[in-house]
Amino acid sequence: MKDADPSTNEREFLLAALKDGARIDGRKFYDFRTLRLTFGAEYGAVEVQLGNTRVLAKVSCEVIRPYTDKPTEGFLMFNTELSPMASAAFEVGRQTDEEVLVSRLIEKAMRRSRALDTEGLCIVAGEKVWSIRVDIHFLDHDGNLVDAACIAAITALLHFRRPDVTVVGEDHTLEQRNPVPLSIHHIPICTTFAFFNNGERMVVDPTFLEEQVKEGDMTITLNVHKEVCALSKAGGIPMEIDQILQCTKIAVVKVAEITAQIQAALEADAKKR
Amino acid sequence: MATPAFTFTPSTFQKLHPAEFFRRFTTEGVRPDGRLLDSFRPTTVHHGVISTANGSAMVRIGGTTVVCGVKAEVAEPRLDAPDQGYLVPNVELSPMCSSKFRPGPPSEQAQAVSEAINRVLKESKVLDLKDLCIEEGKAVWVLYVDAVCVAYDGNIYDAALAAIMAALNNGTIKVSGGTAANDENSFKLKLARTPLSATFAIFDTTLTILADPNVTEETISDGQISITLDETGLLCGVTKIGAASCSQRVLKDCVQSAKKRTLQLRGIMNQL
Amino acid sequence: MSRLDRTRTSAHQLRPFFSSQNLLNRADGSAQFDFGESSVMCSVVGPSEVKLRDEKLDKATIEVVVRPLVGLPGIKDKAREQAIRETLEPLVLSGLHPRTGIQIVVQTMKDDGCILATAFNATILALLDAGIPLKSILGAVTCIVDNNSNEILLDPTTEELANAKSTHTFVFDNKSSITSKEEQQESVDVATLYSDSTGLFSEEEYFECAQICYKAVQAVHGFIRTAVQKKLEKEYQQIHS
Repeated sequence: MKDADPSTNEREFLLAALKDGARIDGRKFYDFRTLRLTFGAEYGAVEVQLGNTRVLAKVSCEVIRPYTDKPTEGFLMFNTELSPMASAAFEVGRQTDEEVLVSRLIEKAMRRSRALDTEGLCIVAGEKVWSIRVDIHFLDHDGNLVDAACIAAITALLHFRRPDVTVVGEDHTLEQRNPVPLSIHHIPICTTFAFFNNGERMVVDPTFLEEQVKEGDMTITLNVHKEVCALSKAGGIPMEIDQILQCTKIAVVKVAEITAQIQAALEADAKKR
Repeated sequence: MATPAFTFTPSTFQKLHPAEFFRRFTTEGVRPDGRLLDSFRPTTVHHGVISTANGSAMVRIGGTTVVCGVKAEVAEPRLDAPDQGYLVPNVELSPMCSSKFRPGPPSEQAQAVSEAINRVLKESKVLDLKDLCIEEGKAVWVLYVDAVCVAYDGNIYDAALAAIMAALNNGTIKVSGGTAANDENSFKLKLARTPLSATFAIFDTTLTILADPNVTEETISDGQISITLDETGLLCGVTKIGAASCSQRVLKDCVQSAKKRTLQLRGIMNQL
Repeated sequence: MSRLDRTRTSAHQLRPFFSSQNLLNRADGSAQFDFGESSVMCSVVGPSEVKLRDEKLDKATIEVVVRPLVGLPGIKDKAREQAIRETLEPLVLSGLHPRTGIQIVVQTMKDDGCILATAFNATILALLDAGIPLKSILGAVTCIVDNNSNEILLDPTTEELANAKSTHTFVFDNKSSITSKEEQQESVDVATLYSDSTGLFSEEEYFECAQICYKAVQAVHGFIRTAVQKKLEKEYQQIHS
């Protein structure tokens, strides 16, 4: 079942409000919606709510054999299948363009930016390495799935503890100890902008309605050290170079805020355990 | 004199009102194919029908025919279970056996039957997977157990499970060449038990229980009960699915009936 | 006797339930149901447009999608889809919405055993939340026969399931609610809606499990009733305030 297009009234109202300097949910242009992080009793599971958008990330691990040409590298895999739970427009077994885009962005932001130390996942070179799997479940789609999924994935990876194993003698016997956290180099955070009114008006963290009306979008992935990890602008209206720089400056502020919030949530959870 | 407006031939009546047509029979204690309510269809088992397989069997229950072949291959074991082999059962319902099934990926029914049989084999510990170990951490046997339905006329679960058990029972793995000291030796699979099943359809609000439903009975029934038993009379699985809720008394009767049926089926299977 | 999860003291004790409805904004109805550390989210969309191929002239088409917590959906999930659909189809008054579709999506959120039973309970709450007309409600519970003690343990955790000789899941509807007279009796002739048992077990064990689960399900029915009542009261207050 396809998503119905917004009515002309809805569209006009949203655009008129933006022109007058307001978003219809009362946010300022460069504000994220309220972010809530909920952890379960298990390590490596986190539910992220970004306004009405809801994403669950679950990290799991297993021991597998490495590739022969990369004997010391572990694996990091993402599963970002869009569930029909998030929106009836997502069908089972049929990949939409949106799904391809979301999974590519997550892949670029997390894996290609080397956020996780995959060499640290080696147990016995050439024989046994850890494979880390991140399942991202989209539960409710109210726009900006990418940012929510990215926050969920990195928070779940930070929260996860894998079993500690040591190699004893030549037999490679695995001895279990207290679980250990993964070694994570940096925390990449995505910030998505949506453009309206020939690119003159831009907003951060668009809702589903804003996404339906937008003229173009751009996602910038940054970490707290002000390093750009990925930048994605797939189609939409053309933009001035200055505007991209302006977006990056806004994103730097947003990333600092979100990173602080993730760390605070992780600390609060650690205290409870 | 009042005459009915129009009359049907029995076959037209059956097409228009299949459930009502069927009810007229069951209230008399018989079924359209001439069986009593509690009787199973004639069953035959043939062993070793595929000469190229490591073990094979063909089971026929009335109009339903299932051919099963066991193929053994060498594979690397899983890292977390280095001394265990694999047992991979699969039931295939191809368009060949009935127009109900379409070509392409396996239908939901085929997947559900495969999963049900997989669970019975695993949970009731039919085969010790450690018996399939060749060299710990290096090589193990993987047994592909493929049951292909050739003709579909209902009750696929009973037929597929019987065919799989018969094929595993005459399965022989040949170890040739390689690391083995004696060049050609073979071993038979050691099965801890042989679970067999009996399926019943629940029909109508009158709660008529029909043993071994055929395809027409399956489509108009309101639920199914499958009972799986091993040779000692121990239960290996009970499944009840569908609209009609069924009482404990009905389930107890089914278990009794299933005991008799699986005993009979075992007799047929052991005749060589 | 203390249970492996250390919070329960009796073999016939269920873990604490938790449920909440109307959590998702895009779905027409949604609910989450927890048995302790097992949690399932369910969403319902419909009655709405249905693909021409699946359209039924006299009733609504019900589609169930089961999604695992880890990995891609496999045949285990397909089997669960079939179990949930065939159990719910007769409960839904689908004749009231011909030529439409009702899509049910079941997502495991936390897995500590008994996922199928948790999923059944979440689904019925989500259908109630979506306002889909139903004939009756259902409740589901799982129990195991322990390998060492041969004792029947209700609502087992993953740890307890690993040591099970046999596993039994039962679903009962609330049409034949238990009476106080029956409660005192040792055995009741219960009407089973769905039953799924695997492992190795005797006939006596099976019917004893059915009895114990039937009594336990009464608590689930009561809980669902209260949950719906509370939700309706809240909605009524919102309308009239």
